[in-house]
Amino acid sequence: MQVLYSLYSAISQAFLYAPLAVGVGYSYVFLRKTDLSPEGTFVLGACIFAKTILITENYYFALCAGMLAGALGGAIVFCLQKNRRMNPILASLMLIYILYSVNLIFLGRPNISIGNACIPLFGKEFVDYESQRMIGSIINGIILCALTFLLSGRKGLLLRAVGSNSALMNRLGYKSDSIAMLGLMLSNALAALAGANTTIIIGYADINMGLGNAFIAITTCLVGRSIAPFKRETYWGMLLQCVLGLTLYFFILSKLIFFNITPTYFKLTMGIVLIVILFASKKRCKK
Amino acid sequence: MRQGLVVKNITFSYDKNPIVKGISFNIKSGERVAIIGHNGCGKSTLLKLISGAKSPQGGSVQFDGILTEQKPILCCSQNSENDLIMDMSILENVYIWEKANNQIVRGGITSQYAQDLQKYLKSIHPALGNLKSNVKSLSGGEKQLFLLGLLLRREASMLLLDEHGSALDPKARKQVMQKTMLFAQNLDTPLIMVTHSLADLEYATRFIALKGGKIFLDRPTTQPLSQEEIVSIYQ
Repeated sequence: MQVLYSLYSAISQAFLYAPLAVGVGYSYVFLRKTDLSPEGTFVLGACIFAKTILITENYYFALCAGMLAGALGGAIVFCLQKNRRMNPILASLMLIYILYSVNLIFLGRPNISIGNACIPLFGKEFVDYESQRMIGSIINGIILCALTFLLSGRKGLLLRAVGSNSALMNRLGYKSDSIAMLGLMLSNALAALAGANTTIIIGYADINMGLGNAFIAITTCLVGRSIAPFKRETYWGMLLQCVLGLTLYFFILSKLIFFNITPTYFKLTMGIVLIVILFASKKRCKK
Repeated sequence: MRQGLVVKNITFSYDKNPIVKGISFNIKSGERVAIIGHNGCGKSTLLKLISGAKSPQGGSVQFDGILTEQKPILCCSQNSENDLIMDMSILENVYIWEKANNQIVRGGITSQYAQDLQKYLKSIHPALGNLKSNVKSLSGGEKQLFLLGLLLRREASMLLLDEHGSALDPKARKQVMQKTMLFAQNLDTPLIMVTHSLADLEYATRFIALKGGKIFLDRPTTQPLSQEEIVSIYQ
């Protein structure tokens, strides 16, 4: 029973973080850009969401505002690294650095409670933590499935093609810069979505809530890709691989808590487990 | 009335090092011209100037009265991987290529379109008939033939080949060259190929030998190269 609950908890937590991992996956795997900016846009989405929901008391409007802010962050990071003006990693670190102040300006203080704000769905309002976590995960799941369905068509093909061979795309007459910018905007809007839905569930937004999130997103995306039985790079594949990686991550996390691993050794143990998984899957691939 | 390709006194330098020094020639539609010369004589640069991938620093390149730098022409290069999307299927590659050229209109890939495409690609090479197979899994020769097939399906104003068989083994190379010429027969456009192999001259109707960035020889292939001429071209 305990294992089943851990699994359920890990899956719902995985769907909560899935937009972040999928967004990072789009830029890392499809666009072939190492973009760490979702670490900053995750918090930006959370802060804008928190402020907007306090003003408008409208969950969906606040969610859209948070995602728009994330997309704007993606456009800025693209402009910084366009035409090799700045190294992509430096550009994303620069954005994270700047967003720290921006988020502080929006919040007015390091953290802000959103009070009794809740997720309305089909005329019902879900207030308690468990149901909010479930509904938040479902909303993320619906948005991700709709997006994946959309990208599995022609638009997504162009995004993958730009990541794979942007020089050819330019020669063929496509505006590969615009396509790449849209990709990064999408990736960061998804990170902001994860930030916004995390805020509604935990009940507050904090300027430090994104710490280490880019690492979790990239690692779980890679873990998912390495353990998934399907290897072809498709949008549905990416979604399933990210959910798989995140589920495993949160399941291991719950087991570490269950075995009373002290916080001092937490990240060390988790890191070793992830390294073992990645190495083992590489060895399996070689065989 | 088609004017064909008109190259007028073009010049081009890399870092003040002149590579193409005032070259002029005309090529009529249907002509097959081979460009030969030693390494670094400016063959590939000349082809890039003809295709419009690079703009000449002096002079002009016009095809049917239009500057090619304003309307670049795609070229089949020696490394087909530059012109294909390796981690996509054959069908996806065709889509990307043909969508750009408005060969695929609204409505996308219909079953009739896919059937015709499959038939066409199979006629080039049987391995290309499986539209869902990944381009990465094709051999070097198959990739080169696939690229050639993509170029031939475009309403190409010219067929430009830059040592497109040079990275292949002799058997695959011969197959690629023969297929190229077979398909080029039906084209009413100029065919220009840059080659290192004098054996390829059998596929051309005319050759232009470059030396030191200038035209050294320009004549029909019916007058073969003498031993002394070969030595002076490659010296």
